This record gives sequence, structure tokens and C-alpha cells, in this order.
Amino acid sequence: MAALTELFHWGSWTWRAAEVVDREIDEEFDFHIDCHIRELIDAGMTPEQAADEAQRLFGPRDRLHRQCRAAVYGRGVWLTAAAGLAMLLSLGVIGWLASQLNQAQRQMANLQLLLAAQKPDGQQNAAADKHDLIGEIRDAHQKPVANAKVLVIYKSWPNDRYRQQAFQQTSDKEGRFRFRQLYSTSTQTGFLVTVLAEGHTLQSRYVLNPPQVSAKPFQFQLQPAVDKTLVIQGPDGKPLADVPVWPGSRKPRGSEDDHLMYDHSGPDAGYRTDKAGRVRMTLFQPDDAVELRLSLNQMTEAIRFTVDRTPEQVIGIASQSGVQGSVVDSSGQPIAGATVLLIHKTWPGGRFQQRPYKTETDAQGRFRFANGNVTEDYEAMLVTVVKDGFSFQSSYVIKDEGKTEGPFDFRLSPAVPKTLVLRNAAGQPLANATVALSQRKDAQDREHLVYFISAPSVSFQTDAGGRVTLNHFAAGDQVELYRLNGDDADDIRLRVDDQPEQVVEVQR
Amino acid sequence: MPADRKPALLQGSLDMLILQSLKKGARHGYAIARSLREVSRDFLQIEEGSLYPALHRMEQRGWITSHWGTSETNRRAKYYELSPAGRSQLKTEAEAWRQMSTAIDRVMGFQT
Repeated sequence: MAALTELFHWGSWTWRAAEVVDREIDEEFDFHIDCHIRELIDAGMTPEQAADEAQRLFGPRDRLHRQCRAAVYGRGVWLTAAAGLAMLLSLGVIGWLASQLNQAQRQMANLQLLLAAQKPDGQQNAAADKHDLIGEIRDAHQKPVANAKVLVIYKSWPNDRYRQQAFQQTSDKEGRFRFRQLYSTSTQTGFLVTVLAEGHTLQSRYVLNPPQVSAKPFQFQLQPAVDKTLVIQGPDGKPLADVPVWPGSRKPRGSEDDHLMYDHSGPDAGYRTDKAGRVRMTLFQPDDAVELRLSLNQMTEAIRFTVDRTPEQVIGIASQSGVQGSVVDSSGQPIAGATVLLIHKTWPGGRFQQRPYKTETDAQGRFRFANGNVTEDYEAMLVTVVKDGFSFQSSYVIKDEGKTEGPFDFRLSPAVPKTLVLRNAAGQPLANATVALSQRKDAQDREHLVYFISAPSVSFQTDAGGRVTLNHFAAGDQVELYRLNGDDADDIRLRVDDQPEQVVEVQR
Repeated sequence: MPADRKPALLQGSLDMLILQSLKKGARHGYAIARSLREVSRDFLQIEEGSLYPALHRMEQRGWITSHWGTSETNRRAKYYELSPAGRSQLKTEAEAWRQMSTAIDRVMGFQT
């Protein structure tokens, strides 16, 4: 009887786990169709026509869903779930069910990762378990490398928002390092570990959803690097003095492996050019393809070069291109002092990375982000313009296959001043709360966005009565705001009415 | 078949096209579909939803990995990226395709 009960619970649990997969497949399909609908509306179709066409081009959903499910599971788990219930009715299927149960157990390991990313009731599963990240660094002769810089970029997705944190340590005399309680295995995480040791080649390792067992250390074996001084010049040929630099990537000749350092860790690398634009950087081997990153005028520039065999190598920034554009009002007059936010997305070595930038329009309403010759074959940019008194706007461009970005020209419409009164579920005012712009859907159903990573740049504070006046939307807009809470945020959703004051309840 | 009718995708080539599309970086399913459409200049007509069983199948084989991320519209989206095994598989399939198309060209007399 106990075995039957156990089997019933097993079948029920397996059925619930399958529901998770079903839900994720549906979410993927919905996202695809919604994207296509948006594209067809932009091409001139009505929403109804676009929905029909997108569904038609997608194909028969039920069949595709079954095919996805079969690809994830095969048929064994579904038979087990059904057999769990059938067992209660007939003892005759016990022997067949036992063999199906074995197969379902092998699928359990796959289900656990999916369940860890599941959000019941919209909330992220709490990362109750934390694991240390440990490693060892040795040279080509297996000797420990002490005092190596170990830079970690930790990626997580709390509440479905991408978050990136940087950590660093130095290896001890045994070449070992340990980041205590760094990552969880019950939620989706990833990390990039980069090792910098002068005299040795730059190396990195990327792990997505690290395995349950955290006891196994990361092993790095560094090769000898050539002694190298780089002389860095600007587009005018003059040396760039006192500029922070770091190696963004290194690809050994003939290898498919990219060793990376994200810009987030860049300043921690500790390299800086001297007065003559020189920097000693013994991290490469001859013929390595390197991308060097520089922090220049609050922007990040990049220089790509191949390491030669000379002890001193001159490299320079090519003529600058960049994201640029203009901001005018509805009558065509330039708007000065508008905040312009840029999210630059790239996939160096196949790894997603996004960098936020901010600038302001000049007296002629023009703006420019100098991204030098940082060109990946595939990159995307979101540009958002915010100015008090005007409805904020954004534009998203994917640069692929030779397409160029911009210019990004914006014509802003007037906004209506709106005082929001924020209250919690108990009706109490949310005093001194930080609120930031997130999303605005206008009358033409176009969405204008501010990513969470840029939100602090367009944030406002409520007063003691929970009031905050915003002048960035038009009447009728569907608006989303962030209520910032440390590294996290609550979403505030409202439809802007034509009243000067609007009460909003903030759910947690 | 009239010259202006677009042929259906040859069986077995969808996996190779998806792997190629991911070569430049992680993408979600819709971006993959759009890339295939645009790069082929609309010549390849693929039932868009058929990408997903292929993606899930290739993930089970270890050729690609996936993670949930944030899309360009700030929505949750599932991104796929090539694994080292996938890169190797792409090379194998591309070479096989090249050899097959060369052989067919010879039989048809398109090359000597």
C-alpha cells in the first residue's frame, strides 16, 4: 500500500513538473507571436490582421507544442504520469509501470533546473542555498600562480530582471582562490571567471547554471605570455595619457575560444597608460587577436589588434563613429538638456553583455555616444529620451549583417503633469520612495522603454505624503514604473487619466 | 516546378541553419526566425513554429544551451546559444552540405 501511495505522489509530482515545461513552451510561443504581431503592425496591418497573419505563419500550435514536449521528454514521463493513476485501478500494470518509473527518474535531473527558474505567483524562488566558488591557478609547469587577480562577473535574474555583479580576489601563495557563498543552484545563474596574472596569458571560463556540486574547484593553467608594452594613440595620432585600459578579449590564433573580461570588471584590472600613452601588459602570446578596452571621456572605446612579436606595439583608435541623433519638440524646435539613455547590447564570444550609457542633448538638441570602433557583427541598441514636460520615447535598433545604427531622431510630444499618490496595500502613503520610469505604451500602441539598469538615471522621490509629480506621459498612456528597492524593484502599473492627481496602490 | 515558386526547406537542413544563425551570438527564437528570413532574402520559407521543436531537440543533444533573459522589449524571453559541441556539429554539417551540393552540381552539369 505504501508503494502505491508513493507511486501516486510520484505520478502527481511528475504531472505538475510537466505542467512547468508546458507553461514555458507556451510562454516561448506567445513571445514569438507577439513579436511578429508587432512587426506586422509596424508594416501597416491592423492589429486583427497582424494577429491572424502571425498565427498563420507560426503554424498549428497544438502540434508544435506536442513536438516540443516530445523533444524535451520523450514519451516515457507522460506514460508514467498516466500509469500512476492507472495503478490505483489495476494491479496488473505494476510491472510495466516500474520500468517506466526508472526512465522518469533519469529525467528528474533535467526537471530540477527548470523548476528552479519557475516563478510561482510571480515571485522568484528564494536562493536558500549558496555555494562557494573555488579555484586553482597554475602555470605551464604546474606551479601555483600567486597574486593573480581573479575577477568574477556573477549573472542572475531576480524577478526576471537581468542583474550583473562584479567581484574580485587575489590568489594565495598556493594559487588558490575562494569566493564565499557566491552562487545559488536553485535559481538560474551564470558566471564569468577571468584570471589576470602578469607574465601569463589572460584566461576566462564561463559557466551557466553551475552544477549542484560546488566542491570541485575551477582549474586554470596559464601559459607564458610575451613581454609587451602597448603605445595607445587617439584618432589624431596623439598618445592617450592616463587612461584606464583593460583587455576585453583574447582569442589565441587557431582557437575558437574567446577569453573575456567584461567592462564591469575593467577598472579592477588596474592598468593605466602613462604620460606617453604607454602601458605594459604581459598577458598575451604572439598572434593572439585582442580587443583592448579604454575608458575615455566617460565612454568605453575599443581597439582590436593582433599581437605582434615586437616588445613595443603602437595601436590606435580609428576615426570615430557612434550612436547619434537629435531631439526636437512637436514644432521642430530643438530640445536642449534632454537626458538620453543608451543600452548597448553585444554578445562577445557568444555571451550576452549590456552596457548602459547616458548623455544630454546640446543647445542644438543633438547628442552623440562615441562608441569608437566597437563593432560586433551583431549588436543591439535601445535609445531612450527623457525630458520633463515631454512624453518620453525610445527606439530599438538591431545592427546585423551590415546594417548601420541611427541616426536616432526623436520628435517629442507634450506631456501632462501628473501627481501620483503611492500607497501600499494597507492604504498607507509610501513616503520617501524612489520611483523610476519603466515603460509607456502610447495611443498608437508603441512601447517606449527604460531598462532597469538605467532606471536610477530617471528616478524621482515621493514626499512624506507618498506624492510625486511626473511630467513624462500623455493622457491615455499605459504606464509602468519601477519602485526601486535596493537592487530590486516593484512594478507599478497605471493608465494615465486626465485628472491632475491619481492614487496608485503599489503591490509587493 | 515553376522557377518563381520557393522550394520547401530540404529535410535535415533546418538544424544547420539554426546553428549558423547562433554562431554570432545568443538569440531568442523569433530573432532566429527573422534572421533566417532576412539573410535568405525571404527565399527560405520556414513554418516559424517548427523552429521550436528543432531548438528543443538540439538542446537535448547538447548542441545549444538556453537561458531565460530580457528581450529588447523588456519581456522575458528564452535565449539560445551555441555550445562547443554545437560549434563542432555546425562545422560537420556545413562540410557535409558543401560536399553534397558540389556533387549535385556536378550531376546536373552546373559545374565541370
